[in-house]
Amino acid sequence: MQGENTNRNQKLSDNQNRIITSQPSGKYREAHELILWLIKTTKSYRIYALNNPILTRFIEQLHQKLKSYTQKHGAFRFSIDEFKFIFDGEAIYENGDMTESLPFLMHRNGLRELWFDSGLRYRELTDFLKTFRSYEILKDSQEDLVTLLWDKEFSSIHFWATDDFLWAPIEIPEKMKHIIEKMEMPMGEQENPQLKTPLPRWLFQSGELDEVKEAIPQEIEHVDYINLLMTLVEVINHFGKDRKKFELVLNFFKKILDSLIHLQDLKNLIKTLSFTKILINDRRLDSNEMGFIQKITDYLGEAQSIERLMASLARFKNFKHEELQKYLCLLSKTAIGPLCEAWVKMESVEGRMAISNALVELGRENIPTLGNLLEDKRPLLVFNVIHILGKIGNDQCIPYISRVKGHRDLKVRNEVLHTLSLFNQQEAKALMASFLDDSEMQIRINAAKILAKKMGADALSYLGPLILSTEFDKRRLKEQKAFLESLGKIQVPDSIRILEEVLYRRLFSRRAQWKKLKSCIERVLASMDLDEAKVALSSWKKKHEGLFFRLLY
Amino acid sequence: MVSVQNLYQTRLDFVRKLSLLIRTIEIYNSENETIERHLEECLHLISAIFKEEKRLSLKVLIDAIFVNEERVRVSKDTYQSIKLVMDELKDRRIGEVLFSWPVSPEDLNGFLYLLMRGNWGNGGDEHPLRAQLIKENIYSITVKPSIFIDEELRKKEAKKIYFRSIALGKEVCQNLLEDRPLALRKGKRLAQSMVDLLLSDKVPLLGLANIKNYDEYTYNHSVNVTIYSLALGARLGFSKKILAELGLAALFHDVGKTRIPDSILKKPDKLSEVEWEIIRSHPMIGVEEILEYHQFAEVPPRILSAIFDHHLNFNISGYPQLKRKKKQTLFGRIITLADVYDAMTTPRCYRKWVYSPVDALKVMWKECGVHFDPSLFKVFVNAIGVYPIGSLVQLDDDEMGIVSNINPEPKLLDRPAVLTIAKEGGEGRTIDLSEPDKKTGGFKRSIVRCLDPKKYGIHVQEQFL
Repeated sequence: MQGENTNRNQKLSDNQNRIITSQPSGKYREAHELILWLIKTTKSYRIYALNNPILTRFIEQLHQKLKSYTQKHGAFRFSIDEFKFIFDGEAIYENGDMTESLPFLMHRNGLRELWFDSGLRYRELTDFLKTFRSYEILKDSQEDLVTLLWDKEFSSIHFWATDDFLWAPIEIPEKMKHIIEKMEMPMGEQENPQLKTPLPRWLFQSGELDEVKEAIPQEIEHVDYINLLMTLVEVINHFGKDRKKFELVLNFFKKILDSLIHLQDLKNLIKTLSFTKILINDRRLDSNEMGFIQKITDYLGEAQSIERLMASLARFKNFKHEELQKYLCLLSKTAIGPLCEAWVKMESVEGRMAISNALVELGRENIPTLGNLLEDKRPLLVFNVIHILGKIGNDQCIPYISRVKGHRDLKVRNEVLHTLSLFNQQEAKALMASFLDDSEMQIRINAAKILAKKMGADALSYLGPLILSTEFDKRRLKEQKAFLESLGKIQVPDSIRILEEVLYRRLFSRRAQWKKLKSCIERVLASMDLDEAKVALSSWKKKHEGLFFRLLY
Repeated sequence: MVSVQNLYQTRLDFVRKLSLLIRTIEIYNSENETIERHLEECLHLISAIFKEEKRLSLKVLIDAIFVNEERVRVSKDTYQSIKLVMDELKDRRIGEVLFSWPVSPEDLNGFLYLLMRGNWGNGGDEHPLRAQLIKENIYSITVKPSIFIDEELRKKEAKKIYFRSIALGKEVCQNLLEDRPLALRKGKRLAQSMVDLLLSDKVPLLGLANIKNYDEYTYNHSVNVTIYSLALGARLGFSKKILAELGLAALFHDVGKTRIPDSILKKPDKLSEVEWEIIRSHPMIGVEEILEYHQFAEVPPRILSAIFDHHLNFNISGYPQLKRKKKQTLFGRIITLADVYDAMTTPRCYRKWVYSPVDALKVMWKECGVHFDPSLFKVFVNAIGVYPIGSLVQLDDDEMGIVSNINPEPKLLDRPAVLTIAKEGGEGRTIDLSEPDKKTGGFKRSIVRCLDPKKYGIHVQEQFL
């Protein structure tokens, strides 16, 4: 962490050295230094977490410097050019890089002059710096930087925005005579309203105003997106078949959805999407309105929307994954592909789980869409799709899964095997059995274990012939043992017979391997609950001891 | 973590305790036990606020008090305490008191004594009490002067904003006719300036809303509707940001009318059904304009809904006609009230007389539940008063006056401050009609009727220019 911080510091000072071309002198030096601290601190806000001690140190120093400057000289005031900060007529900072230039960011947003007064509080300064940070986060929403700064109501930080300058001189009448003749109309005179008007009924009863004030925030704190959507459906209806206007309405709502995603406002996204589901079943919707709703739901499932959401999740890391899952489940099938992509990139375990679970829900009705993704070249993506198909558990999934049973990636094949074990269909069992011949030993071992566990006596028809085959002798001891143990797990007399056959048939095979295999079979027989197994074991021991005795003497 | 409700209560308790301290300090000396107890309790509240919010600012803006930028709501129980703190600070031209932790009992005591005993004249940008506090080694408490000290300055600012808004209306109209984008950013900045001014002092802007120019009706009307809407929103306790959005929505609520020919808008005769249809299309045209503009920049979604909704009516009986029922939005409901009120009190080319403010409110009251939200109507009356600022009234002693301020106490809405009309070269004086008459138990003066300014050759608008 310390090393990382040092590198970042180095980077910051490198940038400054690159940007500043000449060292100012005299009265500009202090202003120049202050600006450098301001730049440095603003940059630090982009780099460090809010609680990082280095950032805190930067802010403290900037605050201290601003305080001592304003105490000495009064307000620190500078104007903003496209790429420059200008102090008292001279450029004290210049940065032409549009991606990182602070003057450019301010200028583009209409800020033309900025000044810090004496009495600047630390909290005010951090609020100011945070505003720039939040602007970068919010810039896709309906906010502009000047509004964000205005809303903060700073008492020691002031600015002038472009719109203050752009006003052409306007005529402000000093006296009413200029406009008075336009107003001269008779007005009805009124008796005391207390006598003739319902004045008492206009007044609030005790607590009534408080009730209204309590009810209002619910309406005002959050935009009512359902109402907005209903308004837009009415607008669509009114515009009729005019495609240009249709696109205008659609783009308007798309931008709103973008900003909701950008701000990770999952609650409102869930509300809106849930409402589209209700609307879509409304028989009164005409094809135009229906098309509008459909395009909205499809849009949220498109790659760009999912990518935007993922970027937002990466930015605000502490998202509620239950909420995310709920939202994703409401998306249309267009989201399946992009979500699979997102799953691959997602770092958070909870996030991956939320996407997976949502894909299960979305995939239930769209198995072919999901199945076709198995052709993707990335093993991780294929792995996840198999996992999801397994969770869906529908028979229709098996043909898709079978397509990747020979996948080059070991983990994928292993997942196919495990996923197939979730299905009860004969087709799935036959596919699982095919893994007994897989090129990878570990997969063959897993297949044997799974077959024995899932299929019971039925597994004998696959395991028996293989174990008794001469080809089995060539396999490594580890695999042989695993197969025999799997056989032992099938608690039927037929499995004992196969084990016995192996014992007697392999009697004179390679000595060292035989010894290990023998003890393995003995152990397997001992572990079986069947009487036949005990009989087989004792009979083998007797024969084996007699044979040993003969060999010895 | 303290709940929002508890935090609000702590802030309120702090203001009340401060009020108690101010009253006590006026009576006792600093060593008094009661003062010590109150100081301790007050510090306990200050500490609680710092613990939660890490800062404490007490701000006064003409008729409201803010603790950490949150407006402290006035109820009948808290009215006296809040008013006392507000008045004491206002009288001493203090706009903000800033605390930094830790605050010692000595610091708080010293600050209050300096505040109450000192004669604080005009010290320019820096309040003289600030220097005095430093001199007394009190660093944990500092003060800032009121932003708008001079009433004339406020008037000037209000005039500038008002006439700029009218100029903006014309510019928007011109832009639309020349297929140029709306000047929405400018609208945003104007709405923000209006909010700043209105939160600081609503009188100058509400006074200017008396300018009812039928020749440039659309422009004046939009600005007046914005002022009334903002006054209502402020009464509801909206945040600055929401108020600015409301202001922008109100400013642009009739943007669709720019596409309607003057021959219809200014027709003095009865409109035909076809012409009515065209008039009724203006909310939808407005929506279209906003949608077109939206391609270029940011438009808060509430604005589009408000433009669509502002003739929909509370019971959805208005226009545009809906295919399926939906609620009229809050912005829509607010703008409807402001829109109708201003229209009724403004002369129009087809109506050669205007409603008096009270008459207009009476007519509107009958329409509550149909056209208007009944609760919001009451808030509206609360915000602009039964006798709105600028009303010419006759008092029970036959004196005439212009309503110059609204009574903030909801029960005394019909008892505003009135500036009497000067008689024979004398000067008018401001009378508070809520002043009680100790002999009768009633009030010293009352309004008996609203008068038509034209009849008496009085230009009430002059008062605000």
